[in-house]
Amino acid sequence: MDPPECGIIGYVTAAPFEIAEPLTEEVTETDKPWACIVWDDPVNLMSYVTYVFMTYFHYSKEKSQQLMLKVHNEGKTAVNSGTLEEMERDVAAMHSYGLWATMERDS
Amino acid sequence: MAHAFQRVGDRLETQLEPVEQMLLGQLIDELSDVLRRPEDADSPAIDPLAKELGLEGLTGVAPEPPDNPVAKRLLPDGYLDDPIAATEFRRYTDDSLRASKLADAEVMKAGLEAAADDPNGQIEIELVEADHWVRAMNDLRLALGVELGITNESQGQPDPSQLDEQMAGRAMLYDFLTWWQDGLVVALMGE
Repeated sequence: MDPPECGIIGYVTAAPFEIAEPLTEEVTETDKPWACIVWDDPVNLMSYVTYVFMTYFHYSKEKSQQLMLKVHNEGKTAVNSGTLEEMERDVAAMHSYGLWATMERDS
Repeated sequence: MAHAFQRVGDRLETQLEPVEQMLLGQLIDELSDVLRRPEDADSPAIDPLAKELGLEGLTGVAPEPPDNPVAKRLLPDGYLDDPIAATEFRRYTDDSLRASKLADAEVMKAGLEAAADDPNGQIEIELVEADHWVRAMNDLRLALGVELGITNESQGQPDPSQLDEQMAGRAMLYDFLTWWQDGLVVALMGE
């Protein structure tokens, strides 16, 4: 799964979502894979969560629905993995959509 | 009564009653108040030049996590068990996240005002604006969800008969927004 080249937020939002600078403190950290974890939330609609995965990550409807159900049934799931910078960008984007997301080291 | 969203070419159309326009407009204003930084009025710590260049995250003091439970839900930590990383994450993302959510709220507010000027309460959303709308609706529902105490443990909404008049009104708005947002998402995803 490739991280998106450009999240939809970048071109539809009046105030583009940007992280000013890579947030890493140690160079070696950037080589380790990280994951963007999305947590279950009783307010976010299943249709909306599917829509967010399709829109931001450009996943297919089927894959987006599978991920949404994993979040719903298991309480959380990794929706993407990559470098620290990439995953911080994804977590920030999920927050802009109102999904509860956190960083986690990919194991 | 409000109409569900209909896809018409590159637009989505809906209609709202005046009372619905007013109540949603008030909710949007409340949301925007929560999203503005409390210290925005007097923040000597931020260098004006850095602010102009969009670099205040590089120079300013890292913002504190919000105390307000609604703000806490809308602006959550990015790291679960690492307070230092969470603080750094917030330092670089807090301004952008607040600005993004405020922009969403403004787009929805402008749509509600357009409806107020139309005899039928008509709202027309261009597809390129739709993301702002679904996000703003979601933020409103998240804010109401906090007020109503809707959590993973609560298994849905509180019993309406147990709510006072004000909270019963909030519960109705929550239900309305749930129906309205789902309709917009379905209209957007429809082939």
